[in-house]
Amino acid sequence: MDPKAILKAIDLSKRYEDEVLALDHLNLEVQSSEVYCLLGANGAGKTTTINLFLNFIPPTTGTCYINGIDVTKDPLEAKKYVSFVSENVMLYGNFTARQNLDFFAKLGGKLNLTKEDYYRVMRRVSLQDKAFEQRVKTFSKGMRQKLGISIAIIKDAPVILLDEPTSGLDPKAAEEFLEILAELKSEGKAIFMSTHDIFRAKEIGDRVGIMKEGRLVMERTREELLDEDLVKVYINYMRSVPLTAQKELVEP
Amino acid sequence: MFRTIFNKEILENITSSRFLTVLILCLIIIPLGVYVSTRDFQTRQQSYQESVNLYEESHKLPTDLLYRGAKAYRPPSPLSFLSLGLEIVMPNVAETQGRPGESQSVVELKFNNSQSPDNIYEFFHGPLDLVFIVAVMMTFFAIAFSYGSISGEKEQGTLKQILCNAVPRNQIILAKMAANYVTLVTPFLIAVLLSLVIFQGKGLVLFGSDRAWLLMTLSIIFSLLLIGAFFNLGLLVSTLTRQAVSTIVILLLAWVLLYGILPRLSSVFAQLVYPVKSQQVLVSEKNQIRMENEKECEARIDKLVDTGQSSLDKQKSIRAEFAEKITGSLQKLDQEWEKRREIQRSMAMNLARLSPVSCFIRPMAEISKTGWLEWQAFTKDVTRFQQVLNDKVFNQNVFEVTKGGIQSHEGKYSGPAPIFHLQPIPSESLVKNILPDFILLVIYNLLFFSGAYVKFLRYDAR
Repeated sequence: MDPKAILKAIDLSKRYEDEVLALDHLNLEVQSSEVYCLLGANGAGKTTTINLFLNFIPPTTGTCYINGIDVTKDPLEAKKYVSFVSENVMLYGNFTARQNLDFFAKLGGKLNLTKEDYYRVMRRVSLQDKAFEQRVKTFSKGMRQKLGISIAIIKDAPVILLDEPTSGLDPKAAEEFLEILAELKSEGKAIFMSTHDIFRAKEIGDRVGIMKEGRLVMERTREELLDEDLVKVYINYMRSVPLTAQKELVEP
Repeated sequence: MFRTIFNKEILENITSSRFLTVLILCLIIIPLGVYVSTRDFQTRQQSYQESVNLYEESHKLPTDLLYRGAKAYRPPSPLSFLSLGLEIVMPNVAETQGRPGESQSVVELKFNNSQSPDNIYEFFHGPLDLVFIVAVMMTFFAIAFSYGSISGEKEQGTLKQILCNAVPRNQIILAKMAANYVTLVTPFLIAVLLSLVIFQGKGLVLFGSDRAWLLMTLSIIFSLLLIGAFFNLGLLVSTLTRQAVSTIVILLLAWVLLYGILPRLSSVFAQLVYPVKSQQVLVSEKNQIRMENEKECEARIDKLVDTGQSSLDKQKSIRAEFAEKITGSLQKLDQEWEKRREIQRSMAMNLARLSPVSCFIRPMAEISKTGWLEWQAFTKDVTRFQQVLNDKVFNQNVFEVTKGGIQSHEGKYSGPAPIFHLQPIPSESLVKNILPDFILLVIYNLLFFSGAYVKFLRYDAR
């Protein structure tokens, strides 16, 4: 394991009460200034992985670390170093964008921010000025996703977890979203993103992993992907190849 | 963190339409309820005062008592706007029954109720007193404020957004509880205080005793506890479900059970398990005893008269003997009936206490002086009054039955007729009576909130 990795999963497994094995001995790590894209079909275990990192569910076996802190043992300390953007950012509809940002900034430990600080962050994610004091219930999905990433930015955590953040966004909004992620990466953030979008994963990901039936069946670096067609690779892995036959499961 | 979440909850509530709805309804319904109830009280008070004045005017002499009968009027409670309780069925007047002056044994006090609401239609739906407003309207609002607290946020996705921060879960649930409860009870308290100020200013709320404000405060504490119990129940169910719609369905069923079914079932259950004969049957049995004894008494006197051995002393002695016998038998019958009725009532009351609503409604009636304690106090005071009447008047004025008819013998008592005064219920008795319900309401609050607290610590926020 790389000692510089800020996000780590070691032998992480999750078996739910209904005996479904959602995650099977996952080993992965993400470093600062790195974007890791996790691809996989629905039910492959992507969201489970994020839920385990956020301590929403306890692991059956294994450990996950954020900034070297065992998430299960000290979840509150670990959460200081992580931000989260969900597939469908749902905030308080009766609050304005600024009020939502203010609330979540305070929860993230930023207590002394001014209105201008909030406006600056919202401008950075390309939210229009007139939307700052608008109620969020009037926002489009793209605007809500931008506000979601604003919350992550304002918390200024070294790790950002994103669960299919571009799902349902129009191409322009998705492109803008990825530009923001690229900026955050350049600021040293470790970005872990689950997605169905193979093209954008290839575009932004420094590493791309493919999950199938709870297992990480493939992992490629950006350099390796230059010579490969990710779509073909992905489709090949998604075909009914028995998992036991997979040779490319990356060892931690 | 507590403050951040508390402030957010407050802001979220006051910007929501449900808060505005609660505020408007409280500001309309509560003053209206207080107004209607105080107006009814004024009518009853006026009627009471007129009856007492008329009685006093017509009972200047002891002979007035002998021929017109004695009456004891119970004053209506000025706090009946809190709870009308048993006011409409509780006796408000006790009057002598039988032929006065024959002897104390046949002078009994009969309880009557001459009250009725202005509009008889009110009986179908019950009064619009504070008890109704709190037990129905405010408990319903309590559910509306708490059902979405956890499952609603989960469904909305904001709970996940909160929990991905370093926020202890206990602070979240505590802040949510505190903020939502404060927002819920604020319109209620504003409306109650406003009603009191307006109507006290207009002289409509007539606080008869110096304890009125204390009793008023007590009733508000009970109201807040009941609202809290339903609010915390809502919070608990919200942590047990994953969807707000499931929460509201469960809570509505619980509300129907706790408000409507359980208190009524407890009474039915007590009647089935421990039946008590009706008052009509009791009266019939008492009349039977009285008639049999009177017949026997008259037979003995007639026999003496027929044999020429009769004298006033002998008649008096026989009457006294039978009077004692009748009194003894009737008292025994009354005591047995009262005892059985008390057991049945206690059984129903204790079963009903499984519902927080029952722990609120009954004590509120006691606080408002329209409850069982007041009824008992009136009965007790009236019995004492009867004793005064017997000792001072009726025992001093005896009649003799002769062959020529009834002859009266002037007694020693010549002052004005004694006037009845209802003694206030001692504070200790009231506190002792309502304390179990108070403790139970506190327990319900703690129980429901602890359940919600523990459950939320393990709540699956995915």
